Amino acid sequence: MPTVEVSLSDIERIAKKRIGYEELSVILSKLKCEVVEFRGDKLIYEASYDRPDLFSAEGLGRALRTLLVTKDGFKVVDVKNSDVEVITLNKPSYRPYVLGAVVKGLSLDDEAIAQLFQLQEKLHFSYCGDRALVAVGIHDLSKVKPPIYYKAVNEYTFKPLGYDSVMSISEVLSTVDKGSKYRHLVKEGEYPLLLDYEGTVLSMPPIINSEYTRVTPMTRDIFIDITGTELNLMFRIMNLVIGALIERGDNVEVFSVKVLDGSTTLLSPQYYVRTIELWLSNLRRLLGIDLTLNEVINHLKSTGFNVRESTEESLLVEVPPYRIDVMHEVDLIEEVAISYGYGELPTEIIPPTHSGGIHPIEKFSKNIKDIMIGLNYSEVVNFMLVDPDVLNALGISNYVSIENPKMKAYSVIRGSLIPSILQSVKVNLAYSKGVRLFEVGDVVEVGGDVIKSVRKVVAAISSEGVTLTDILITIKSLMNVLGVSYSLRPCENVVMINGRCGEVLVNGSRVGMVGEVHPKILNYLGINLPTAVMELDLSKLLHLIL
Amino acid sequence: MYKVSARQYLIINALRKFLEKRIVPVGVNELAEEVNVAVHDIMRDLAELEMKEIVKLHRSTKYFIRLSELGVNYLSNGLPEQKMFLSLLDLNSRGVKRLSVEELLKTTNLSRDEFSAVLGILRRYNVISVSRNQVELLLDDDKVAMFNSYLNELTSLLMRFKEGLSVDVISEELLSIRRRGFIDINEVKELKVELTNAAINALSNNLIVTKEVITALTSDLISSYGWMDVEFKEFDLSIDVPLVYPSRKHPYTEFLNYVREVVVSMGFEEMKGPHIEFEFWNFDVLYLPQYHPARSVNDVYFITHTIKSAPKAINEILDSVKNIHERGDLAKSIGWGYRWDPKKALRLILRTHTTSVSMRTIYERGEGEYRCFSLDRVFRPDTPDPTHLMEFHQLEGIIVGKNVAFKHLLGFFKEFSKRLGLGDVLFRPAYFPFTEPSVEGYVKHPRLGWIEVFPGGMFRPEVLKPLKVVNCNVAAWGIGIDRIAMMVLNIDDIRDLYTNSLEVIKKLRIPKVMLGG
Repeated sequence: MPTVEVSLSDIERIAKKRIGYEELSVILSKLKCEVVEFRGDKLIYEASYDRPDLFSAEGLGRALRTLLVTKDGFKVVDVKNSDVEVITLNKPSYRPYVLGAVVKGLSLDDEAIAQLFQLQEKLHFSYCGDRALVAVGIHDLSKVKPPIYYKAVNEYTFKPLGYDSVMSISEVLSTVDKGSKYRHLVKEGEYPLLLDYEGTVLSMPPIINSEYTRVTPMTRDIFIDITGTELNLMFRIMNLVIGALIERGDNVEVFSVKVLDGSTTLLSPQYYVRTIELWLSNLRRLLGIDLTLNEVINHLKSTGFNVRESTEESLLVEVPPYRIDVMHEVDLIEEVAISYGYGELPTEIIPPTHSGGIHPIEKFSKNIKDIMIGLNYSEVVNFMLVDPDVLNALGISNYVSIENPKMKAYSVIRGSLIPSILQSVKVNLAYSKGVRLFEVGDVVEVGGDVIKSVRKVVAAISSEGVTLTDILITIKSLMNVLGVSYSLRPCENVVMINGRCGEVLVNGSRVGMVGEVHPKILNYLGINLPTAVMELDLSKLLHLIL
Repeated sequence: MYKVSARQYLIINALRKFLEKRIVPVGVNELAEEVNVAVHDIMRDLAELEMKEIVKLHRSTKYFIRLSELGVNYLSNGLPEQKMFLSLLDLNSRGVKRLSVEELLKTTNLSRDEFSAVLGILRRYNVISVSRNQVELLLDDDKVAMFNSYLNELTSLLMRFKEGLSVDVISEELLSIRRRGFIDINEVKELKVELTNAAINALSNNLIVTKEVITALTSDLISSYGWMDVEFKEFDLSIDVPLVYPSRKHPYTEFLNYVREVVVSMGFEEMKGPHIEFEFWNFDVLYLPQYHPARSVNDVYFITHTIKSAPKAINEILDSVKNIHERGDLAKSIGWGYRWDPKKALRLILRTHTTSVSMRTIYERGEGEYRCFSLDRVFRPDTPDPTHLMEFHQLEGIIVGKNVAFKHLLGFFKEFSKRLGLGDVLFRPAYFPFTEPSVEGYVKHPRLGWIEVFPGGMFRPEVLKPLKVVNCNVAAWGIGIDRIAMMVLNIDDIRDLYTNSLEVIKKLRIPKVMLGG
C-alpha cells in the first residue's frame, strides 16, 4: 500500500472546501485510504493499490471535491491535436515503446511539483514493475525543440536531473543513485535516450531525466514521455499522469502528439472516456440490496462517474480516463456500495444447503492425537520451515529449499517430523529429567517431478533407561486402538543406531519407522538421554485403512 | 471387646463420670460440654455407639412455654375480663344498670376479638347477661365468687410461665390461653444418653478400647472388613499438594480444531491443497498482475525446484487466464493490459494464502450450491518477532451459489465473530485484486482497539470466468486466524502459538469460549 504525503492546504485548494482532520479521516476510509498521521499542514495516508488516481494531492483533492461539493460526476476533457512528433530512430529493442503528450496552461508551485514527482514514484513502484515495464518523465515543454527522437545510443553526455555537471552515460550509471539502482534495466551499448531536434537530452529512460528540461514553478506547458515494454499499460499510466495535471490550473488543455515508429503511427495519449453498462439486476444480486435507479445515479455521480443514459433496467456509465481500476461492472457496484455506506448495508446469514464436514485427514489426526494423549505424550508444535544445517547434520538431504529465504534457520521445508521432535526434546529436557512428546503435522515430500504435502505423526521418548521397547509399545498400543495389523522389518537409517531401527509395514507397504536415536546425533543436538522415536505417514495409513 | 474411636472413648468416659455422680441419663448438652466439643459434632458418634449398644439414647419432646408480650402486659396491668367486670361494677355504682354492647366495647378499649372472648367468659360465669344487644351486670354473690376464683386461677397459671417452663404435655387449658395469645409454645427435642449395662460391664473389665488410627485405606482393610475397627485420620485440607501438568493437546491446535467445528456447524466442508503451489493457482487465476508488488521476492518465498510441464488442469484454462490478464474481454473486462507470461505462472512458491485451495476447488466443482473452508499454513517472507512470523494459519472460505450476495458475506463474519466471542464487527471498504466488492471487518481488541481480522469479498468475474463459473456468485474470505487465536488464548507473542516448549504450554488455560461459555 503506497504511503502518500500531501499538504492539507493544497488538498483544500483543489477540493475547494475547508476540511477538518476528523472529517478527513472518515472520508478517506470511503476512498479506501487510511490516515497514518497528521503533522501540521502535512497529511500522510496509505492509499489503496487499486486507486492510483489517489497517489497524489491532485486526485485526492478531486475525489474530495466530487464527494463533498459538486456530487456531479467528472468534467470531460477533450484532447486537441498538436504538431509535436515523437520519432523512433534505431530504438532499443528491449524497450520498444514510447508515448508522449502535451499539457498546457498549468500553474505550478513547489508543492505541485513535489506531488508530480511523488505520483511518478508511486506509479513506478506499484504499476510499472519498478520502471521495468513502464517509466514516466515530465519536462518543461518550452525547453524542448520538437520533434523528439527516441533512440538507442552507445554513449552520450548530458546533465542528469539534480546534478551540476555534464556526465557520460557510463558515469551516470556508476555515480548517480538512480543510475546504479536501475542500471539492470538497460543494455550496455544500447542505452535508451530521448533527444530533441537540437540533440538536447530530455531523459535517459527508465533511469533519469536531464536537468535541462526540469519542471519549475515557471513552467506553464509540460511534455510527458512514457517508455516501456507494455504499450497498453503505458497508455493507462499516461492517463493517470494527465488526470493529475488537469487539476493544476483553471484552463488546462491536453494535446496529443504523433508517435512515428517506423511505418506505424500512434496517436498519444488515448485520454478517452470509457463506458460500462451497469445492470440494476446485477447490482441487486451482488449486493443483496434493493436500490432505485435514482439512488444508483446519485451514488455514481458523487463518486465521480457520469451517467450518459439510463433505463429502468440499466445505466450507461462514463468512466474517467484516470480511473484505470474500473475494469468491469462489478467495480461500479462496489463504488455504489461504498457510497451507500458499508455500515448501512444489511447483513444476513444464508442457510447452508448441505451439512458441513471436517476433512478425513483432520478427523484421523484428531483420533491419533487422542490416542497419543492417552499414552501420556504431550503435544508440541513446530514450524514447517527449518534449518538446513540441522537436516544435513542428521544426514537428511531430500528436501525442498527456498530460493529467497530471510533467515537460514527458516530456509528449507521439512520433509520429516523427526528433526522437529528431536529439537523439541532438546528444548524440554532443560526443565525435566525425561519427556514424552508428539507432533502431528504436515511435511513436504519430494521425488522427481512430484512434490506433495503429507500428514505425519512423530513421537519421541527421552529419559534414562529408554530403549526401542518403549517406542514399540507405543506403536503396538496405537495400532491396537486403530484395529490395524502391522509388521516390523529391520532397516538402516542415518539418524538411528544400526540394528536398533525398523520399518513399520501395513499390508506390505511402508507407513513409518521406529528407532533409537544414534548417540552422535544426540551429541550434535545436545541431548544427554537415550531417546527413541517413531514416525508414521498418516496420509498413507488412512488410505490403507479406508 | 468394643473398638471405638478416640472421641467415642472420651464420650464413654464422660458418661461414666455422670454415672458416678448418678446423673443418668444425662442430657446431650451437658455431655457435649463435658467432652468439650459442640453438640452437632458428637451426634454421629452417639448414633454409632447406640448401634453398637454401648449407649442407650432417650429421645423425647418437650414444650417450652413462656408468656407472650400480651400475656406479660395482662399480668401486670390486669386481665381484660377483670377489667371489663370492674368497669361494669363502676358503671353500676354510678347508676348505669345496662348499656349496649357497642358502648361497652368503647369503654373497655379491647380489640373486637378479645372483647367477644371476654364477653363470652363473663356470660359463662353468669356475672352478666346479654339480651337484645344490652349488657346487664348480674350481682349474684356465688357467681361473682366463682368468677373471682377463675381469675385467680388464670393469674396463677400465667405466673407459672412468667420465666418460661418446660412441660411434657400441652393441656386443653394451655391451648385455650395460647389461642388468646397469652403464651408462646415452642417444641423442643431432647436427647438423653446413658451407658448400657453391657457397656458398664465391659468398662469394668477394660473391654472398651480405642480404634487404630489410619491415614490410608488398604485393600486388606476393605476385603477383611477391618475398616470397621479403624479410625480414619482427619485430613488437614489446608496442607498444599504438588501440582501435576497433564499430558495435553497443544492449546493452539485445540483452538484450530474448535474453529473447524464452528465453521463445519455453519455448513462448510473442509478442503485441502498443497503447500508448494504454482504461482498460477496462487496469483494468476486470482487476477493478480504479474508485476504486482505482492508477487515480488519481498513478499513470496520462491522454491528452487522447477516442474517441467504444466499439469493438465493448468493447461486447460491457461488461455482463458492469459486473455483475462491481457485483454479481459472474456469476462467483459478490460484486463490489466500487459503481456502475461505463462512461464512465470508455472514457477513454484510456498503458497502465500490458501485462496489457491479455493481456486482449485472451484475449478474442480464449478457452478453449484456449496460452501468450503480450509484451515492450514501459509507462508510470507518475514523475520520472527512477537507480532510476525514467516508461516501462519489462514482460515479460507467460499460460499458458492446463485443467490449468494455481499450481505451474506457480512452476515458470515458477524456470526463467526459471535461464535468465537469476539463481539460486534465493523465493516470498511478494502481492496483485494480478486474480489469486488471487497471488505475488511474489524473487531474490538481489549487493549489495541479496533483491529482488522476479517478480509473478504465477492470473487471478480475475471477470476470466475476461466473457472467456468458465470451464473453463480462466490463470497470468499481469508482470515489470518493467528491474530484471533492470540486474542482468544490471551497470548501476546505470536511465537507462543507455535511453541514446542511444555513450559509455555502449561501456562495456557482453556479459553471460556472453548469450554462452552
